[in-house]
Amino acid sequence: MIKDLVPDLTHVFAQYAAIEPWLHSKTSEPEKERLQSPEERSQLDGYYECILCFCCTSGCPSHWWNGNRFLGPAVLLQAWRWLTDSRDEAKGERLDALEDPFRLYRCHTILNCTRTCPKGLNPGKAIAEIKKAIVEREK
Amino acid sequence: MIKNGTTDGNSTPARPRPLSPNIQIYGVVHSAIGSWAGQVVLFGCTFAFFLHLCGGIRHLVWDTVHGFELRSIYISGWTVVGSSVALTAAAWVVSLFVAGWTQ
Repeated sequence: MIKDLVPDLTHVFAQYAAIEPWLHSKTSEPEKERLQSPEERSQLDGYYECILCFCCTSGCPSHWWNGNRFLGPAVLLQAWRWLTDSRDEAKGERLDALEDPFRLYRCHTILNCTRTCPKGLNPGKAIAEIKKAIVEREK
Repeated sequence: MIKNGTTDGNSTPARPRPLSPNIQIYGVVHSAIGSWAGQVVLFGCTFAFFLHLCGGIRHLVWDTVHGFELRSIYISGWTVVGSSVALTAAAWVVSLFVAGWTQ
C-alpha cells in the first residue's frame, strides 16, 4: 500500500511475470498468423478480459497468509488463459511449473475471487480448470 | 465354544477375564456425554460431522469444474447448511428412538 487507492503491485506483477504470460511456440513460425477456429477462440472468453486490477487476489485469504509463494487468483486465471489457448505449445511445462503445494494448491476454493471480480469473471473456475488439467494429464 | 474364559461357558473362570486397559475412561466418557452439557457438545459434534460431510461433497463437485457460477455457489452453500441441519435432526431423532427401544 502506497496510499489510499494506490496499492504496491510490485510483488503481484512479479508473480504474473513468473507464469510467462506470452505465447510459447515450438513449431516454426507460420507465414501468416497462427490461426484459431471460432471454437478455439471461445476458450479464451471469460479469461482474456481480465485487466489485472488484482481485486480477487486482494480478497483471497490464502494470498493474505501465503502471498509470498501462492500465486493468487488473478495470476492463476492468467495461467489458465495461456493453458487453454490452442496456439500455445508449452502446456506441459506450464502445468509442471504450477503443480506445487504453494503456487497452485494453496487455493482452497474459498471463492472470494469469483465474488469480488468487478468484471464478473471467474478466477475460481479457472483455478479448478488448472487442477483438473493436472489430474487428467496424469491418467 | 469359549465363553467366560472356560470351555463350557458355565463353570467358574480359570483366570480373571481380561479387561481393556484404562477401562475407567469408558465410565468417565459415558457420564460426561450423558450430562446436559455433554449432550449439547455431542449435538454440536453431530452437526460438525454432517457439515463437513456435505461440504466435502460440494468440494468433490467443484473438482469436476461444475457449479462455479456465483448463483450456484450460493445455492450449494445454503444447501450444505440446510442438509446438515436436517441430517443432524434426523440422526438425533433416530438415535433417541433407538435409545428408547433399548431402555
